[in-house]
Amino acid sequence: MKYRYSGVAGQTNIDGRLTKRPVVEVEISFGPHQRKFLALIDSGADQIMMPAAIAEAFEIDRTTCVQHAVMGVSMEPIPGFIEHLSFRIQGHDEHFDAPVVFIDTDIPVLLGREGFFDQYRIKFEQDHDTFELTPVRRL
Amino acid sequence: MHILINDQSQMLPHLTEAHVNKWVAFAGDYTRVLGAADQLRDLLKTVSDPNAVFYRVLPKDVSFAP
Repeated sequence: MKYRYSGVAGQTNIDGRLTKRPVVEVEISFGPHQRKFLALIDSGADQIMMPAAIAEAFEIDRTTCVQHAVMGVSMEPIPGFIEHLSFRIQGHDEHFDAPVVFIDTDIPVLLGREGFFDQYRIKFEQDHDTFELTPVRRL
Repeated sequence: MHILINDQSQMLPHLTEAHVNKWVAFAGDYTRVLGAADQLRDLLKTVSDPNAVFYRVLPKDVSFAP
């Protein structure tokens, strides 16, 4: 399935062109809880990452979760915790489970390599403003 | 089979200057914005529509490198 890169009016690159990002709608669930987000596909992120507010909405008790710190470009470790959630990508029928690192920062939902790139072959075609997600067939 | 979805526009719709650096909730068909808040925690409490799609509108005039 192919998707278009998405932009927000007024957000521009250094050269003045619209900033377009590989964003895809994803349905996220945990037990009886389910919400949809526009998530950024991020090959630089080791795992799927989300704001801890989502864990709270899903009634995940962080005190019982494995703790896991995250380091971004600031190179400062940020405390986080891990839980496994279920995912379904817009335009795809299949669901998959993956670990998520939750942090107390209002980041966008980031679809990182472990858990997402494991599930989909991803072909970025920024020169065509498109990207393609193909489920990985597992034997 | 290749299908382009979300191809009506490359612009996310209905976002204005007021939504910059906030969380927004789109209606499931993207025809309108259901709500916006500085904190996702607050927006998740106020938007109960199960088809709502939540999105973090990043600030302008900065580069994003998570």
